[in-house]
Amino acid sequence: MRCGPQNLKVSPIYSEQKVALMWEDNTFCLLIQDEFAYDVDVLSTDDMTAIDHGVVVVPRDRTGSIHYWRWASPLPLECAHNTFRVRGRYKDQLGISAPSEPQVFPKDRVVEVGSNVTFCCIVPPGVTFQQMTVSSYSNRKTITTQINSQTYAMTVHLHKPSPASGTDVTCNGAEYGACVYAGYPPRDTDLQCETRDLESVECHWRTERKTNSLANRRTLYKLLGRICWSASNRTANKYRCVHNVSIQAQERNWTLTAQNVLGTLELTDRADLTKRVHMFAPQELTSSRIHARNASLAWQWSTSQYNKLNIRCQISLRSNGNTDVKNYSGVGLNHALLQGLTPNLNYAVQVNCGTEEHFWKWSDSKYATFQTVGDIPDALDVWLWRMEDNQTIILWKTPQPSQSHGRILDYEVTWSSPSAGQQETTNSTVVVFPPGNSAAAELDPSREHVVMVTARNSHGRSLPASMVVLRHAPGEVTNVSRIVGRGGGFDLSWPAHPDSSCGYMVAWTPTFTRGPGDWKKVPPGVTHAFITENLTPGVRYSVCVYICIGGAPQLLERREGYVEETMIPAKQITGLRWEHVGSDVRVSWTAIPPENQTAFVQGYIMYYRRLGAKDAGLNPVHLNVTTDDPEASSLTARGVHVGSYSFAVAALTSVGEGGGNAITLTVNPPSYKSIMAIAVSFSNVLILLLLTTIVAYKNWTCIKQKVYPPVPKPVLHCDWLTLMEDHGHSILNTRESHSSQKENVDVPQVFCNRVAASTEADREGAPFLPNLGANGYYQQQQQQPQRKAIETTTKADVSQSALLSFPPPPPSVFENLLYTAGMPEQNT
Amino acid sequence: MAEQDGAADAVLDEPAPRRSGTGRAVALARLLHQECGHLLQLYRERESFLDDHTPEGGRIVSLSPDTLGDDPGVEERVGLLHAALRQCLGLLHCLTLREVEEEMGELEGEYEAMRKNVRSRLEHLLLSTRVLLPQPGEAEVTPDNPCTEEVDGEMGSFALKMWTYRVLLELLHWADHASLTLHVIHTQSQETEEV
Repeated sequence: MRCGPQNLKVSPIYSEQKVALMWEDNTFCLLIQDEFAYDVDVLSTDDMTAIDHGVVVVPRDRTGSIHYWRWASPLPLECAHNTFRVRGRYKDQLGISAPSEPQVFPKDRVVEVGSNVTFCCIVPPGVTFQQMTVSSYSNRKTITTQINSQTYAMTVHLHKPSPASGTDVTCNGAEYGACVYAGYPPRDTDLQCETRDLESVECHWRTERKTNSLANRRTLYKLLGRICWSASNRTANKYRCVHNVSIQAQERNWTLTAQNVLGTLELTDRADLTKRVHMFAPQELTSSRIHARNASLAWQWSTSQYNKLNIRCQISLRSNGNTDVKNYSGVGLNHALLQGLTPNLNYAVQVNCGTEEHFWKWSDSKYATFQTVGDIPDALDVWLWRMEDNQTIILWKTPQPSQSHGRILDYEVTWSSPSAGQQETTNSTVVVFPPGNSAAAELDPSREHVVMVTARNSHGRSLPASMVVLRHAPGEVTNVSRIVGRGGGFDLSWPAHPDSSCGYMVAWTPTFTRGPGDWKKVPPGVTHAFITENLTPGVRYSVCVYICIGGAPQLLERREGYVEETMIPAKQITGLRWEHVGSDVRVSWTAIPPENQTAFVQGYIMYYRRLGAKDAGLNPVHLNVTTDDPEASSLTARGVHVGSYSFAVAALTSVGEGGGNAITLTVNPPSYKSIMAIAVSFSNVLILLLLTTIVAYKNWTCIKQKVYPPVPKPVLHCDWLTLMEDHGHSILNTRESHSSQKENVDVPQVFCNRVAASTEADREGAPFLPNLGANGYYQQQQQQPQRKAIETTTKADVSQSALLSFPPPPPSVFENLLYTAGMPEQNT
Repeated sequence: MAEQDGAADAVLDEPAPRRSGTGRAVALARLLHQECGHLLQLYRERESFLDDHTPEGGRIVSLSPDTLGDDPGVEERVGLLHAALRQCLGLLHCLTLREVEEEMGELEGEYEAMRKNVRSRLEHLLLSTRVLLPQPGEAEVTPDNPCTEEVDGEMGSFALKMWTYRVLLELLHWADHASLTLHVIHTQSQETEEV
């Protein structure tokens, strides 16, 4: 039972010794649709015992009025202190109970944020007051003052809005207290009204979130003076109210009143709502009469008011990631014929509608899906590639779902050579199954051929795509120009050709791999194309433009280029070698093979620097020389001093220097070379002389025999010889010979051995000659080493003469015939 | 608590023929107890002044001392429990009405969602305990509170808050009592089956 008094005012009338009570019904009493009463008790404040009692009956028609009650005190009012208690009673249910525990007042007060509110706590007799607290204000210091023996008061400045459940004020613990709501007057904004069905007005407005307290949630909204019972949409802080009203085609004010206990706010939107029709979404959207390339859509409207409305509907068709929007208009529009559809495709449909005139907003969307019926495939996109072995590759692009109109079962490739004179027409056909998209054909290059390709699905075969292959004329040379890629592709344009009856074709393939690449057909009248498919940066492409004349492609121009030039990888320049020419160093290299070039070479640059210059305290100068000749294979560095250098060569391209390689070389002084040459030559000569000397030494006897043959000695009788001996002279003219084997021979032995020595000579039948032995000299004894003979006979420098001269013949052989040293004794 | 949830969920997930009526009721009571505790916690967070406060006064829902014999049988215990739970449902029903009236409509916060959850679980538990009664058809499972009693003789939002707090404590108490009582009954019934 929550019905009870509020704003109870107790007024003493001292002159009449009476107390007048006045109070109002609280809002809960307004819900009681019946008679109820108030019990009024007069209590002695000291012990709270009842002194008197009264009843005030409130008839049904008096609910909400102010009530009065007077009590006549038996004692003068100054003598006793009394407490008055007023409780509502309805069907034996009492509202306020006897104050047996602490009470906090006011209860459920609604105040504006920033207000100062004084709360009081009345403790029952015998109970000691401890404290009063205010939730969420516990950190603030509050002063409590005592009003009387049981009543204490505290003033709080409510500087912030209360939470949704209110701010709690408690006394002597959490058991007893009251709630207060600090909020704001209505702060609603952005009122906008429209009509959805031309029979009601719908207004929207917004409220500020931070005013969301109980005070504001008890805000009463009225639109056009009528209460909005379900106005709120609290999650989005947006409100909406709808009232049935006749919508006239004229401007008027649409007024919203927002009221709470803290204030009232009025918002107005002035508009002609016939120009603000926000249609409902179409209902029961269905598709029908679906064919391969068209379908019908139909829907219903939820209100008959739309039947006379000029409606515009926007239909979005989404399939395979593509969206196509079509617009339809009409009075009471409720259907649309969709055309230009693709066979065998799933479509998602979205329909939004609005008024054609004075368009306000699109309606909510309605969705549907359908699938078109299949059809034969579209004609294929065909191309030919002639290989070097007279084979021709027939290619076609695999049709997309929007082109195949169903699953492709097979491809049929036919080529024929129309008869010319006595030659027979030859036809050949092959069937290729997916995923294959090419066929090889042996086409006689001396004849013209017609190639046709068709695709087949469950609905039939496509129209043939044909291409004419002209007789091959070898030796055709087409100038190759350069093309530069831009924006990830090649932007081509060419002069129009008057004979291009079937347009143009552009074909491109990597220049150095020589295989079928990609192509693009260009319709007649168009002389430009931008190709981007299957192009890789750093790869040189050959791009050819063909004109199509009577179905036959004929080469118009050929270009080469990179869709994007990239840096040439390092060390592509090979075979670095150098030569020193005077004070210059010339470095040569082997050019980068074209298939390894990832950009066009525009020239070369060579860097060189001296090694170890810093350590030697020299300036490490970095120099370079360049050439803009892409065919260059050498560069010369001028004025290179003696020392060690690093030379690096790189190719110049539009994207920078690349392909670089380096060598290290040492430049030596020029005289050093000469010295080296002389030294080498001299060394060679010395070696030759040494070898010659050795050979001569070993074969001296033979040489001497050849060069200095011995003079034969005269033949002497023994008597003469004996005569010489009898004279007792033994003249021995020992003269040393030059022979390396000629020794100083002891004379006596010579004599003694003379006879023996001649025996051999006699036996040989030769005239008597001393036994010269192997080398021409008499050999009996070799008393001295051979070296001495050489030493005594020559005075020349050993180092020179040993290499340059031969020993003179021994003079003793020829000079003294009486020299008995070498004379053999003749046997008689 | 998490282990109880797991055990309760495991029992509830068993195929029906294998799961006994008392076993299912035990599992439901345990879940209800857990959710009542969560609901109380959410309310304390919203009304911070209630933190660590124990309200005065006795139980709102109490069993008549005359109905409790020296050794009440299983059916009697289940019947008393069913009656208490039905009173709890009535209190929760009135609580919801008053809060909706106070807030001028349904809020969509965590507390409101859990309040709905507790109500559904309590209704489900009442259906389970009714099955255990000797004459299930005569047992009611709807709220029995007309929601016309005074709120402790006081008016105002503060008094409603205190009353709400007492009702939530009452729900927690009886959910705990239900899980204990049904567990004992379930254990006894399983021992009887084994014998």
